[in-house]
Amino acid sequence: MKILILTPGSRSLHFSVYTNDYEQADHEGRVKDYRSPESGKASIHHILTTLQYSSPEPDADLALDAVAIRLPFGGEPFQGPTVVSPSVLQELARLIPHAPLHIPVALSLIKALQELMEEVPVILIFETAFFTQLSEREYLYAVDPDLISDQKLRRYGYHGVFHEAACVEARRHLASRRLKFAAKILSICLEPRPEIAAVMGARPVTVSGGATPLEGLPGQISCGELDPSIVITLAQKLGWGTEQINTVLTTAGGLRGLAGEAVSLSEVFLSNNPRHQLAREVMQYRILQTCGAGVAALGGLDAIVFSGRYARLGTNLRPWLEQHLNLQTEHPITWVTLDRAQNRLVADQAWVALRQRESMMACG
Amino acid sequence: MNILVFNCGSSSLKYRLLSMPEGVELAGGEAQRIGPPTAQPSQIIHRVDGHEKIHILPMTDHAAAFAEVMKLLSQDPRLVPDAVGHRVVHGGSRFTGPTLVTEDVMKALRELKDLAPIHNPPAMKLMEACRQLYPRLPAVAVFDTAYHSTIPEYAHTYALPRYLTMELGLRKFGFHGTSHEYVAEEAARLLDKPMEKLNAVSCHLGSGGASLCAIVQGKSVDNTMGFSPLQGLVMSTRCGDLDPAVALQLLHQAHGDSKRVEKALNQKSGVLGLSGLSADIRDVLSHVASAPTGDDRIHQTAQVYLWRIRKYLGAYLAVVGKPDAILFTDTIGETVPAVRWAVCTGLEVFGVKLDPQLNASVSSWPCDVAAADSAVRILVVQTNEELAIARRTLAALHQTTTSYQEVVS
Repeated sequence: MKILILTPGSRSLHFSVYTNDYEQADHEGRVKDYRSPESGKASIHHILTTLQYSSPEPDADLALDAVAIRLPFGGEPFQGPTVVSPSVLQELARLIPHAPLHIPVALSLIKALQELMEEVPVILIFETAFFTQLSEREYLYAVDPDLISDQKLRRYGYHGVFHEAACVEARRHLASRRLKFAAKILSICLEPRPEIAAVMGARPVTVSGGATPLEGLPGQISCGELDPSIVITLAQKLGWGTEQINTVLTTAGGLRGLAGEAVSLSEVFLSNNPRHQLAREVMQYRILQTCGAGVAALGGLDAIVFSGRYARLGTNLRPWLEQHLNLQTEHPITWVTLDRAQNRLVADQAWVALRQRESMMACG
Repeated sequence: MNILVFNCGSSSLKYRLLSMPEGVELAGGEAQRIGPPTAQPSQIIHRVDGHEKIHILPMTDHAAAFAEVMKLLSQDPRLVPDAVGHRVVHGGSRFTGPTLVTEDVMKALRELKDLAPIHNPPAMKLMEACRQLYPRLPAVAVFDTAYHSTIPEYAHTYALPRYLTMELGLRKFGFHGTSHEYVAEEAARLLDKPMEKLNAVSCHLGSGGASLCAIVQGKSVDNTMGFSPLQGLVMSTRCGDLDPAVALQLLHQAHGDSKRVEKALNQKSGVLGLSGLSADIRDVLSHVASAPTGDDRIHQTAQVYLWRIRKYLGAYLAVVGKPDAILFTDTIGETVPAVRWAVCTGLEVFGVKLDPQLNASVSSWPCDVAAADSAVRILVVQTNEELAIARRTLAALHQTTTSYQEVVS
């Protein structure tokens, strides 16, 4: 089995190839300037050529079994990995107003893939899919539902791939306690935009992300939760327009704003730089609060699992959380770290979807 | 000593004349519908010795209401105030305790007005009228934000660029401080602990505003309200927590009309906006009680309201670490057992265990509704902001006289 994974980013299109269940990618690379509708085909062509040249037998067929595209947003219609079909494309097109930056790019990539490799299935992996199962009390905001006219206003999480895999891993560790459907798990995803979810069995109960990834914990450059009146104050006091406010909140806030310089999550936790102290304290404090809220939502706690590209920071966070989360649990809390690359997890999800499709075709 | 306490709403003025330090009420009441004439006339419900009388009087602003209240009090020679205590919502970063009102203080408050454009102006009008009409009557301003001045930097800092937070004074202030501090003192007394040793989560659940406060060693270390009273819990007409990107989207949709967005989030959201039925959560809860299953907006509203409290309760129990008690106060906190039950049940992991029967049968306050084997007490305490303000006023006056005497001697 060989899968090509495409991750459309804001500046470049990341690609990687995974074979069978190897942890490491066979190939990895980036294509720049891929976002215009015309450049989709050129980008895919470039990727396929690169892969062809770097393969041991440049003349042989690439033999891709599938292409998976990871998308940050899939709204309510997409509740899991989805194999592209004409009806899926229609559904995706309807989502354009909700994710105007992401969906058109994905559509252009899909079109190019279908033109260049008609026979290879394309699978869509959505970061929001896991969170389509949140309950209303968690996903609703206390505003008039008609306030935002053109879409359903609700909360999602934006690291669904990590959270889902992390919880599978946590349940595996809890298997001896026969906790499967009722395991109470805090999933702490340590990415540049960290996100915490409380999960009961396989079902998300709370998540720190919001209607957009801006809400919740501060990120490396995004502000996280604010008093909503601060947005209004920025408009009123500084006369800023929405674009300008958006730029500051999404690129000049978070750890960067707190430290006064660009700094990564791991630098903040691992360096003793006094300039990073406030950023570290704010981050730790917000993580503690979010964990407390999650435990209250779950009504208990069995496991805490760290994932994300900074998953290993969990070893630094653990003593601090153990000291502050003063919980009376029946069993000691199980601590788990899922230190696997995101694209590896995407490849896993794509394979499951592919196998399901094959068995359905065999039956049909 | 008789202390006259004023508590301003946007169109109302509550007052109580208390004999201190006993805290006995001599008179009290409320001026209602202050402002330009409406279909119903403005009036004062005036109460002396427990007898109420309604006086229909034109009152176009809070200064006029103040003058009328003073007139009513002057009809009885026993009701002469020796000092006035003013509730002021926002003290900014400068006022961290009760403050004797002087011209300098008024000046500083006028500068602050910019920070709290919705909340402070009526109280400012009142204080100005008071200084003009009774220049020799000592007046003390008691701030809702003062108790929260001990919130540590990591909890009051928003993750925004420093030049912005400095320029605009953006930080968490926290509100309802007078009430949180008062019920914490009551709880410390009930638990027979010195206030400096009390660890608690205080839930001030009003029929209008609501906030939770994390208290460590008697001091506020966090509050769910933020830079303004808009952040945090779902309130009667305020949205509470909201993705900042949604606020931005609303601003975009309103073509930059920030006043409109401000009004929508402060006056048309929360329980009212979500339910489409009522701004009073009690109406929503009684609807749900009469039809327990359902998937309509009203059921959703009850769920969202309770869920938000529960999550913050968990967050603050974690922050406090080893809480002695959870405190419930104000209209909803004191009188709606279903709310206490819904947010406390299933929190054994925090050492919290509610006794459902005790909780359902609260008939006098204060009252402990925790099960006997609960590590954390659950106390239902009546708040008394006017009494708290009178106490602070008295303390501020004593302090001022003491320091004055020290200077003189």
